[in-house]
Amino acid sequence: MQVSTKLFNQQSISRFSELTGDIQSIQSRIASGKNVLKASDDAVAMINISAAKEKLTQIQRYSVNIDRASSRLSLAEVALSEIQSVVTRIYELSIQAKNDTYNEDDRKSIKAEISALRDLAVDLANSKDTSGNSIFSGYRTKVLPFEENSDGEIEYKGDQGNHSLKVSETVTMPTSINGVSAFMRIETDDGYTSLFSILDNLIEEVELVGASDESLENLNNTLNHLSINTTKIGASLNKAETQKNGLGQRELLITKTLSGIEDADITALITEMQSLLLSKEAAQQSFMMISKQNLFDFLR
Amino acid sequence: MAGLMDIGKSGLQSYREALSVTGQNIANINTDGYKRREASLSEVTGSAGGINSLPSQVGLGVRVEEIRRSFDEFLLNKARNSTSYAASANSYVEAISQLEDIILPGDANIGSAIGRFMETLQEVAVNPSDLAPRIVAMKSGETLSDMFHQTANLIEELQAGIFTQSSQAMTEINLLSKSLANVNRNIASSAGKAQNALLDNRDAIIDKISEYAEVTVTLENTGSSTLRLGGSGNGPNLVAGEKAYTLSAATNIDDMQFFLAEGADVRRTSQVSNGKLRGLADAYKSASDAMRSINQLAYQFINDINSIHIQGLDLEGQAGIKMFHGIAYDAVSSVSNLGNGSAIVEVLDVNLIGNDPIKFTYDGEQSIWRATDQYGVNIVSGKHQISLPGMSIEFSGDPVGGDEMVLKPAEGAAKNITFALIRPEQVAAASGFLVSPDINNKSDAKIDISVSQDNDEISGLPNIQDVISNTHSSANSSQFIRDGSIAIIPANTDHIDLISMIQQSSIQFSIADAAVMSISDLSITIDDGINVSKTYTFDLSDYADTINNSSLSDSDKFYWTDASQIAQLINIGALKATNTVDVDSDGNPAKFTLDELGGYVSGNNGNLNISLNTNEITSGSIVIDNYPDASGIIKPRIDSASDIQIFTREGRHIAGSAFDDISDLITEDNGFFADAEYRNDYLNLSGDSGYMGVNVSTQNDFASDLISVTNTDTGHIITFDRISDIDAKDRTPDGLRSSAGIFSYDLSIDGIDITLDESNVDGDMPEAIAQAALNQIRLTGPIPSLTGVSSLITSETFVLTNAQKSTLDADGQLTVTYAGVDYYLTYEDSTYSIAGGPNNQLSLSFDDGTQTISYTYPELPDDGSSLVLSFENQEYILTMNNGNIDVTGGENGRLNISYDSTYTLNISANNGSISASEITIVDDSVVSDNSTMALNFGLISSSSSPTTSFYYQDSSYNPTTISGVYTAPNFDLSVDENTLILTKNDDSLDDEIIISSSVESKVGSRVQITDLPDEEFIIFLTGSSDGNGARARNISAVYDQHPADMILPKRDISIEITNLESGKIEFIDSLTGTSMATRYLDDEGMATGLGYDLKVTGVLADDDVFHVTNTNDGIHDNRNLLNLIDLQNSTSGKGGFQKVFSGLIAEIGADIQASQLNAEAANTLKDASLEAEAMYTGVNLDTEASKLIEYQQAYQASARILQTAREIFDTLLQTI
Repeated sequence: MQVSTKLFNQQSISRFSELTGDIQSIQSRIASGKNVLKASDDAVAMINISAAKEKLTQIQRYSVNIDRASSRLSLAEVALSEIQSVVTRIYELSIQAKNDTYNEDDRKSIKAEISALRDLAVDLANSKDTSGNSIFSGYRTKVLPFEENSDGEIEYKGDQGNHSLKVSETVTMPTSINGVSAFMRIETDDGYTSLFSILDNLIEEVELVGASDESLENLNNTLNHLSINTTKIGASLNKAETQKNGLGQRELLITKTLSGIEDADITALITEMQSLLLSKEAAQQSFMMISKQNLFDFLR
Repeated sequence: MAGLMDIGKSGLQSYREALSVTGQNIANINTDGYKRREASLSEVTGSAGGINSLPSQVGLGVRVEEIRRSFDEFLLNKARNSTSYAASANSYVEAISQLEDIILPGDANIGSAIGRFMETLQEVAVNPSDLAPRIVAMKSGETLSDMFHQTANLIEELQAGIFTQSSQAMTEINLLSKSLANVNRNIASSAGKAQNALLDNRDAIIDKISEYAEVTVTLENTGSSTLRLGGSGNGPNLVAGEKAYTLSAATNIDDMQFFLAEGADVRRTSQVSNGKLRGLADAYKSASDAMRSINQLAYQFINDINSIHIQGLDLEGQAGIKMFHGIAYDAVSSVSNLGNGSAIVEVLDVNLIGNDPIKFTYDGEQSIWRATDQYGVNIVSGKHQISLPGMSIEFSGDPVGGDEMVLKPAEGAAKNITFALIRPEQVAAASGFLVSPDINNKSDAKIDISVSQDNDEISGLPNIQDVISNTHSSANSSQFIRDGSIAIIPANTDHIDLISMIQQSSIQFSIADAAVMSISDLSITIDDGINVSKTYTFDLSDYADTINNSSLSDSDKFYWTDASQIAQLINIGALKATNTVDVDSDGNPAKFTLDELGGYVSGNNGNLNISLNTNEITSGSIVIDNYPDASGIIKPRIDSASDIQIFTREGRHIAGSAFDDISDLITEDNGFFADAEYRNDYLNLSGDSGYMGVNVSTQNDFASDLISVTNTDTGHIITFDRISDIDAKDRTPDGLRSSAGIFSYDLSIDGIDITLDESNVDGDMPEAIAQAALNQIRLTGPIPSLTGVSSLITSETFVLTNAQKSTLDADGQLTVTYAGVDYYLTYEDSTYSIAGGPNNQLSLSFDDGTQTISYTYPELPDDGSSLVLSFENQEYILTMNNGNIDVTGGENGRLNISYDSTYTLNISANNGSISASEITIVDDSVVSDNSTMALNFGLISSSSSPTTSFYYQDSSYNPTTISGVYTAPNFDLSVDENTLILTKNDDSLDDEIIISSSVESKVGSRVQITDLPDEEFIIFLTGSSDGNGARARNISAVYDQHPADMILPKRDISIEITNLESGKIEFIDSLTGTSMATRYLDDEGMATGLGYDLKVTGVLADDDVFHVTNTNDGIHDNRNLLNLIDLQNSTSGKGGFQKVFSGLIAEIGADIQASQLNAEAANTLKDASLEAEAMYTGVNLDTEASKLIEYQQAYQASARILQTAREIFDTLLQTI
């Protein structure tokens, strides 16, 4: 077969540049450590990679959300348990006040202590988080949820909203509980009342007659109510911890998958590169030899 | 031996030439288009033998027969085609790889920008009341917009670049085409066989053109060539002989189109099938596709984000605004359109508009625009307007058949997208509402509520404006075929006034247009239900006869050209009807106007419609000359009108009449919601007890309400009413409907009977009717009048002094001044005359005997002085004003008061007084100095006063008193606006005043509702159960609407658990306490109502109440943001933007992959074809070298022959 010398030269040259292109592509993969750099390298892999990356970002966000929610919820837990101890102390004082040996002066001092404790309870119910947002005011975080009105009664200024964050595709986690659930719905024989009106009633009667049985029962109910809420928050925090572990596992799994698709197998690439370099060198040398070899060499 | 010498010489010459050819081959080894040459040698045979000699068998040597050019058309064409193909594949890959780099330039791309934006929103959700994360989110929203812009701009730049490249390629092609045409010319001029170099040139040019565009080459025997575009062989000529055509390109809506021009004739061609140009055009299209996908992504992103964002509230409690802007809707005309049609797109509801392109093609034959989707499927068509989901397109201009326009809703979204929030507070993180359990709930259950994502169930009923025109009219009313739901009152309606009418008897004629001119008689038979029916005939022949009258010139002939002429002449009474029964006083047939028969007619073209207000048309016909008679279509009178019921779509009955069992009517087919439940708690109630505070007025027997009588402490009030547009005559201009007028008010008060019809009443306003009724009643009473007892004329004299008299006599004239007034006296021809004097004088004279000037004048009361009279229990104040008397108080125009020529005061009523009231002067004890005034006015004198006299209207009897002639009833009447006020003259008289009344009206019932809430209502017709089953479902309505997109404050509602066992809950409007909807919780504690999805968690207790309030101070609320973030995961066809984006990337990637493979294959094919061609035509150095050796050897050998010949010759010489 006769081959045109010109064509032979042209084809050889284009083959060299092809080889150079291949080598360059492998070189950039080795340099980036990624197997798939462009969608045109592997369209299916590219879809999987971007899906995995998106999921990864989401999962990391869920973890962050769990941390944020937990820290605020913990504040609520602390405040509630402190209020619980305050009420426990009030309960003890009330029992003491019932004691017949106590005279009016004694009861007066008990009243003073209960009053101080009641104010402390109000302060605790008005706790704020690190950003200065009231914990127990629902969505109205910039107001003090519990304020004394002109009649000396404590009024709730918040709403019944529950701020929550997404901690998985389907689960949201509250970052607090609202003031109504926490302090305004303590069950009594006459329906529902608030912690503060129970305390105010007690303060009113303690000086004169000591604590009534009804008040004592209400205090008991209050303690129950507070402990139920504290427990609920504790449970939420535990659940969040479990959830976070789960997210960690998922993150690991996705990272692994991602690395499987995306990361370059350096050994394989280098081997391939070497073989390409070899082919290129061989091709160049043979071209040199071939183009050198022609009949004119023998024409002397 | 000369032969051997010659042979050797021929060998030397031939091989030297062959060596030259080889040398030429070697020299041109790198010349484009050079085809290998070969010297073809042949023997020079000996001369033919003669008579004396034998022919030589040896021959005469060798010669170069031709220098052949290696050329194979088939191989060459194949090589060219594969070159074109490879060129298109390569240029495509090259361009589209850039596209990939643009869309996915690395880690910063649209997909990651969307992810980043969502991530920043997450941070806002963590602390929504904090501004810092909001600012960050805004920045990332702007970055995202920039990313879209950048990508869109880069794609545009790429497209521009591709187009420039194409243009350059085209310039190249056009130059080459011209060169080829030149070559062809040269070939043609080198008659016979062209030089090889010319052919090489030709082939080289064609090779070059093939790289840019595939061509089909046809070669003539002469070597001249014709090039057609494309590989099919049927494409248009690019080069034909010496002619070259110019190729050009233009970008159309989303691709690149090519045009071939010869002079001014430019034609589009689709034959650029391969070659670099094709690759570029394909890449351009792919870039357009990518642009469209990016635009669609931007469009979807904008719409989805906005649709959720506007549901929320921002940090300041304001409703969320659109977070992103940037969608424009324009229909773009194709560049190849021949006409100049254009379109305007009106967006009705963005959310309903899909993001796929829609193409409009003009159908020239039917003159309509057809809309097709991207698959070419016909969606809808229209002449001037097309309605598509969420938008309406109006066409204008003069399109030509085949013209196209494309509407791409997403067009430009990526380029135009802008982040619309200006302040960080505007991120609408909060949800607009909050659900709070009532503090006294027995349970701890909660309800979660979200705005229902399901679109509101469509009622399936027509909107009221589509079926009932917004005007009260009896001819333009809507007639419905059956009972049941007829229309929806849309949510944006403020108030509505619905009227249900009876159906009048009517007859409809339809006559061919050509026959209208020959109409001669129109007759209708009317049955009044009591007497025998009569046939009334309108003789129209006077007009028609002129047509057949040959003595009349054409211009004098009268033609009916339109039935509207007949209708008009009949309506104004110019054409009258006769019947066979009634005669007038002269014994001639009595003539009746249609009005007298209670009818009204409407006409247009060949349509004529007659209706009767009370009676029935039983038959009718129109006689037409030279045509068969036309008989009309009769509609019977239906006296009972339908009852109108108004419901909410939740089944609350707002207006109408209560139903016992209606459950089988409350169906989805009737437009109710699937869960609707019938309640009539609010039926026909208004205000606090009405549905959501609406005001309802329902009149089921409407006609009786047109006169209503109410009792008062002092008598009665009779109120007149009228819906003028309904009961008046009415017709439609198309001649298809008419409605005869009704005007009949009968009133009887204590034996005084009056009837009011149109002739009695000035206009048809209720005020005019009341006034007319009063006037009518007064006709039964005598007219009182009062005449003053003294004339106010005063006379005065003064006497001229003798000196003055002398002056007058001497001078003939004199001016005297008396009491500040000048008098001019003249004396001429023994006669004295006088002029001048006071302005208001009545007479002036001069007695020359007594030298006395006398004059008279009226001594009217001073300006501003007033007198008070009493009449019919009302006081009238007469005030002097510039010599005239102004009357105030009392009934306007009731008393005529003036001075007569003797300046005596005349007072009379302008109509009878049914109480025969006297006109009296109010006593001084009531109005001080009134009697003095009466004196001044000349009504009384110091000695006498007048008495009222009466003029009895019926008998013209004119007594001074009424006794024995007229007994006045015990009341008086006056009118106030549209009421007639009856005042008893003496309360102590217990006489019962008997009032009865009746009115005719077309109206059967009427429902008026104002203060309608923002909710849809159903108009429902009932009433066929009255025995005969016939009801006129004839409805007219007037309604007011506020703009549909006006944002109304959302109402607070409460959800009440009314029956725990069945899960029954009520949706209660918090403001009014109205129960708006009833639902039952399903097994999972879920229900949907009033646009909310609700889900119960926990165990409910009876009577639990949950308040859904529209809060605006929940600054730490992030629920709307959580919904927005959820868009990351594609749910219900929304969101999932990153997935969409990576799909787009993958698509482009796969395309590049495929086209790379394609290009590789194309290149291999090209190499193979070139090889095959080169094998035949190319220059190989080895071959040429061996040829060089070969020819050199032959040359040396030939030289040897010469030497041998010389040696032989020498040998011979030496032997000699």
